Amino acid sequence: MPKKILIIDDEIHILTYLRHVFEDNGYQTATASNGEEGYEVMKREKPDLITLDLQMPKEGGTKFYQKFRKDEECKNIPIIVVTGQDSPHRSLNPGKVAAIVSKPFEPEDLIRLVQGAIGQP
Amino acid sequence: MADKILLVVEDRALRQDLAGQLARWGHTPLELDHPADCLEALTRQRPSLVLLDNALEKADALELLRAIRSTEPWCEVIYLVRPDKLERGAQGLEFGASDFLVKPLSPARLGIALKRAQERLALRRELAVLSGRLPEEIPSAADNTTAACLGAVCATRLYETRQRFEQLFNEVPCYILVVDRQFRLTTANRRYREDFGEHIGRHCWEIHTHHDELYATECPVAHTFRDGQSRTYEEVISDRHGEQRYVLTTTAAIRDGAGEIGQVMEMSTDITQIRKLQDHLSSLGLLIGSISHGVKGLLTGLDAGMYSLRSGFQRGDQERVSQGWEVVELMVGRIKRTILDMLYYAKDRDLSLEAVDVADFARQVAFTGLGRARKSGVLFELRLGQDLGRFQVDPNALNPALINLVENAVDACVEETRRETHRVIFTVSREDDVVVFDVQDNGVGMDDHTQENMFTLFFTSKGSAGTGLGLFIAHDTVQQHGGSITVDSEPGYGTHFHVRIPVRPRLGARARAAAEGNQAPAEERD
Repeated sequence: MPKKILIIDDEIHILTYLRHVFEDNGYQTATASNGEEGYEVMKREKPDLITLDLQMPKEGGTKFYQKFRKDEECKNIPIIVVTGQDSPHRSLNPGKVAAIVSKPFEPEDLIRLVQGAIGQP
Repeated sequence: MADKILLVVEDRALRQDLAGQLARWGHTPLELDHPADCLEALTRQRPSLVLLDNALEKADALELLRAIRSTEPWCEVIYLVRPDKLERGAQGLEFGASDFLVKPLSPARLGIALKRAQERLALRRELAVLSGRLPEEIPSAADNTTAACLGAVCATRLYETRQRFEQLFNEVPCYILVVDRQFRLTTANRRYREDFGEHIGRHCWEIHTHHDELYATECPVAHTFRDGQSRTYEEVISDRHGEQRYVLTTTAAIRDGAGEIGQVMEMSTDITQIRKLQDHLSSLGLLIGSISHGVKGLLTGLDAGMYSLRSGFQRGDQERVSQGWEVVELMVGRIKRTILDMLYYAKDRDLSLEAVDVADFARQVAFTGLGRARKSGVLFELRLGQDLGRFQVDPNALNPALINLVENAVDACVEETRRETHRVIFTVSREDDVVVFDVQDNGVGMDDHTQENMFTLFFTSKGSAGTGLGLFIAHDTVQQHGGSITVDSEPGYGTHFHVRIPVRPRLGARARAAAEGNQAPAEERD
């Protein structure tokens, strides 16, 4: 059973992009377009890793992260923050996330980080 | 201090006594064989003091005294007289001696006379330094004209010094003004008077700002009156032409003889050019900052499309290829728009004037305002005057400027929580060649500080909800049209923005140059 990555991003093209990148490298994916939906999917799918955009309408990545940190069941899932923000450290505890990736990014770099966090699919 | 002292004394015993005494005190006595040699000795040896005996046989002592005076006017002469010839002493003074001594001379009296002569010499040397003259040019203190000369020298020096300081005061490249305890302007330098007008006697808070008397009691000048400490602050003031000037002002207490602070001086440096440059730079920086997140998103989107294209080709997945192509097209279009927007804002925009129907223009502004007001539960009313006609404006610039005012009015109503009904009234009227827009609301109103700064770049009273750009741009646009914005507001009661736009803009040089390049206005083409 391949490892599953939950992608949370409000931009449909980027969601599709990340889905392609991960699936092309053998991972399974699940997607959500805001923090609230992301939390639901996370609880349902129990992914092995989450990529999180910070700036999203409705419920942003920061709020999702706060809820996630308090979730006993899921709080140890590695998170990779994928953001266009200049200083995402201000709204997160960087020690607790696996990596912060700045947009735009190289797909190979992202895959390397994912493999570093959860290994091969 | 050791001095050369010339002894014009025929009585050898007396002369030797005097020479011995003077040498013991460390002076250099100069003795003469013949009293007539004294003038030559004066010019050659330049003694600072002469002891001249009245009892001369080979020469007339008084004549000699007169000659000494005219040869070396700055030389101190002590006249020696016999006790039975006291009137000669008085004569000596009349002829220009600085002092006289009665023989026989006791060392004590001689010492006192020398000391006084030396003091006078020292005083003259000092005076010479102060007046920039040679000590020789300063007449002896005993000269009859001494007082007058001293007075004249002092007066000249005082006049010159005063003139120099007045010149400095007027020409110094900053504004200097002095206010009294009633905050009335008592003095101002020429530069200030030229740029801001003659305001002597007026209250400082009336001149530049629409502050009230109460504000004056809390301004930096008031603080300096209170504690004597200097304050530095930046403020925006209007010059005599109504142009805004950014000035950096430093206050300083002026104390009277008793040490009381009677006046405070304000020294202001005009930093308008620096501020304008800063505004441009920071607005560019702000623009780049605000679009940076968006640009990164666009670039990632472009990457996404490229990835789909590439991987689609590799796999022979036609669906993925066309999906990728769509994304690339979409992103390229968005990037193009963003870059054009950026260029549009980063550059000083030239007006593109056209003849616009005032009522139509007003309805468009009102339509947007109404939408915002409805969402916020605020009543919105448009009042159109009669015969509004057309005006020459750049609707693409002026429309957002007025919408900004209208939306601000709605925001001010939303913020106000005590009243049940909130209302924004947008009135448009025509006064001769001016179209007048009034935006009135019964929202929270603005305090003095907000009113003072609201047109400044990045000033916002909306916390993180505002960027500080809206009113800055609105103000800039109205000014570009040759119009004006004024505001009347009171906290808790509401705000009234009053915008006047000339039917045909009185353009500034920048706008005029741009307008000349434009085609003839529609009205004239008809």
